[in-house]
Amino acid sequence: MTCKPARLSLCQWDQRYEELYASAPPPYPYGGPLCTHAEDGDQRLTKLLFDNSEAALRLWNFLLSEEDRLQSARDRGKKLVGAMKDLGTVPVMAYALPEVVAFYPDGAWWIPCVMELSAGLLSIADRMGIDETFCPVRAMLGAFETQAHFPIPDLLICSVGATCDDFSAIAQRLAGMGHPILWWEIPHRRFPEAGEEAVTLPGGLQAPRSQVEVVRTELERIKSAFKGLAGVPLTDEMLELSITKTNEVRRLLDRLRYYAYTATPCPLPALEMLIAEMLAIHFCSDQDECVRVLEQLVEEVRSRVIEGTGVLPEDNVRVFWVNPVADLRAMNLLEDCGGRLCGTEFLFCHALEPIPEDLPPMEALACSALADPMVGSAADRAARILAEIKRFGAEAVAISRIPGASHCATEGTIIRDYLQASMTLPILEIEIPPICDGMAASIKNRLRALVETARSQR
Amino acid sequence: MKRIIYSCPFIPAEWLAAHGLHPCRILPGHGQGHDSPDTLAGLCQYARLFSNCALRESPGAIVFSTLCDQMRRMAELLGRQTSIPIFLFNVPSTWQSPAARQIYLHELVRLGRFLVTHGGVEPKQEYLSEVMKSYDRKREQLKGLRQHLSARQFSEAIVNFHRSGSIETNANPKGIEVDKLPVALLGGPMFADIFEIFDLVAQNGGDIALDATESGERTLPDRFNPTNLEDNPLDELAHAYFGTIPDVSRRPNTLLYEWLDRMIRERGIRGIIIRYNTWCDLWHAEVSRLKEHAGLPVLTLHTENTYAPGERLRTATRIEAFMDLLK
Ligand code: SF4
Ligand code: SF4
Repeated sequence: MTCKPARLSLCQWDQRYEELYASAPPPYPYGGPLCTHAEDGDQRLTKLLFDNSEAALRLWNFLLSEEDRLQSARDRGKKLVGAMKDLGTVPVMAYALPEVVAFYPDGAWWIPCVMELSAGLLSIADRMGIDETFCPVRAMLGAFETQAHFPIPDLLICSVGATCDDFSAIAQRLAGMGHPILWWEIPHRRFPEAGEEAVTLPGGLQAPRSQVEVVRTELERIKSAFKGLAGVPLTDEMLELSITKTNEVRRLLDRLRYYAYTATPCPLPALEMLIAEMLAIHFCSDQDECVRVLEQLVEEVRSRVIEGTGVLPEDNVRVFWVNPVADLRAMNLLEDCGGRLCGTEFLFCHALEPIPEDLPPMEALACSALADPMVGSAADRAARILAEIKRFGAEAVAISRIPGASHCATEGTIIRDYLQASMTLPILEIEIPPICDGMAASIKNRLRALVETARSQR
Repeated sequence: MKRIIYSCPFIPAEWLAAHGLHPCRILPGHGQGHDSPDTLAGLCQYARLFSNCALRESPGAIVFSTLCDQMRRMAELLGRQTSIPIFLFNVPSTWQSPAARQIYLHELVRLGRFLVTHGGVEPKQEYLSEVMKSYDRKREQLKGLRQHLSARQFSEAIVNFHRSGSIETNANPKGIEVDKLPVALLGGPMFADIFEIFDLVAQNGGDIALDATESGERTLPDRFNPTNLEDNPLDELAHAYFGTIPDVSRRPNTLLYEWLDRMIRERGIRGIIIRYNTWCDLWHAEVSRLKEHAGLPVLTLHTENTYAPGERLRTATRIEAFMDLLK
């Protein structure tokens, strides 16, 4: 059904759902009105505005039904892998094995927001001594403790080394709670020195060949662990197939990002873009369905672009957003204040880059893992952000600070300085807590000021 | 001789010294100005003060390590603000795999190249062995002082040794201490101006019989194997530092727990004071587990500056109460 693009509240969506699916339910097994998720505890949905397309509904339903999908996989005898921190590499290996399903327990990051703190995960973390000086990923400890948000994985695999202290410390506590972890090393990515062979990574960064080799060796250890878990070896052919499928997801996201961040009027709201981009890291536990969800979304956005329709006024200011927001509502607030999303760097931009298909698969995966923005310098990250700002023609930059995140203090400063030295766009640094309602007025004021400054520079 | 300033216990002083440079592992103090990156919310005060302090030393170079994310990023932040050469040493968090050890060895070699670029001389194998033997001997001498010095004197002797490479033995020997309650001091690095904790414990009938802070005996490497030291000194150096130092940053951090258990037994420890710096996630996250694991009374001190004017009294009172509890 075609209808004018718009943002709808949860109630409005439920009415629309009745109209759309009065005669037959959506053509996928996890469909239903969004209110059912809110009734199940995802209360934040009641405060959000959603895109009104069927494709967006499917996206939300896909996201919010992940727990059921994981449970069903477990019930069918599949092995569950909890990948942690690398955001985009280990799942590609896991999905090469038909009897293995991977997900990120790190995703508990968003549970305090989505459930409006009702799950008590942060309180559990508090009781374990992991207080608000840590980033929202501390909710993961509560999720393991309550076992109420995802099934406990059969194998936990965590990257450490050049990662944030928050995650390293919290994952170690998890191990201390009796959840064995396979740790693998991701070295601090550095620029090749004179005389060192250089490798160009996805996204264009460079690293010494020796570092790629180290990561490849580490991924070989994971490969062995997968063999132990699944009972079958993980062959290069299986990996190549998984890389091809992964790249299909990444290509779809690239197209989606291109349409959504360049077309005027804005064809898809910021919130749906955030959710769609998140699918890149582990396909929301179903690689094939992830492709179908994204295909429908891309098609919807493409037709809007062709028709010249969108969800926001044409003159909304084009804002590039750095870092994920602990409260999803912040994405709505940006649009309420006259902004629109025009490029993102949510800490996992390496998961949006295609994995090289012309390299042996393990080497290709090593290159992909090393391209993680968090394992290198903040200046590398800033350079990549700058390139994306130019690519999408952003008019302003918002750097959201993640409460408690140890990297934000230094990184935000370096990124801001780097951008200021290379461009004249207004930049805002702003902290977004897991529930930002209490600060919504001040956040809006600051976003409005950013938008107005950008407008005055037109 | 050019001084190379660092703070990470996994950087071998021997390697710097063998390059003809002066290894200087420092402990910052409070109140050391704002001439390096400004105070930033969420930034570890130790990392910031180390940078300030390192700059004041007029060093030939500063070596940071990736032991924690804060220091890794501080190296970058400082590198943007000074022309002093900065080296970031990638200390792997994992330690059980051949790849981790390989990274560490590779980093030693890379550090060597950096040192040569900045005034050092590439050492011959025999010379490296000699330097290592000398350090090994001095560390044994240092450890032997524990019997003769007060807890504070002993810990300060370790700090001085890290800073200068020599052992100062002119401290007055401690008298025979009877009926002092043996306590462990555990945690991240100390600041130069908070060693009064030792006195406060002593004044309340205790004795810090184990300095398990980052700047204390916990981070002294194992003795070198004499055969390996002759055959492949660099490999032996890597083994002694990377293979044996227990730290909270290691994944898994089992070495720390094993070492602690052994030392608690050996020294008859009756209580533990855990001191860590605000925004130090690695220690902060481990405190509850350490409490459960140790099965001993634990006092945590985690203020930004334990001896800031308003805090000093509070810290003294808490230590007094803790020691009363142990009695
Ligand atoms: S948000 Fe930042 S601090 Fe938190 S887990 Fe992610 S990278 Fe680490
Ligand atoms: S005190 Fe902790 S956070 Fe600070 S530099 Fe040391 S290990 Fe890093």
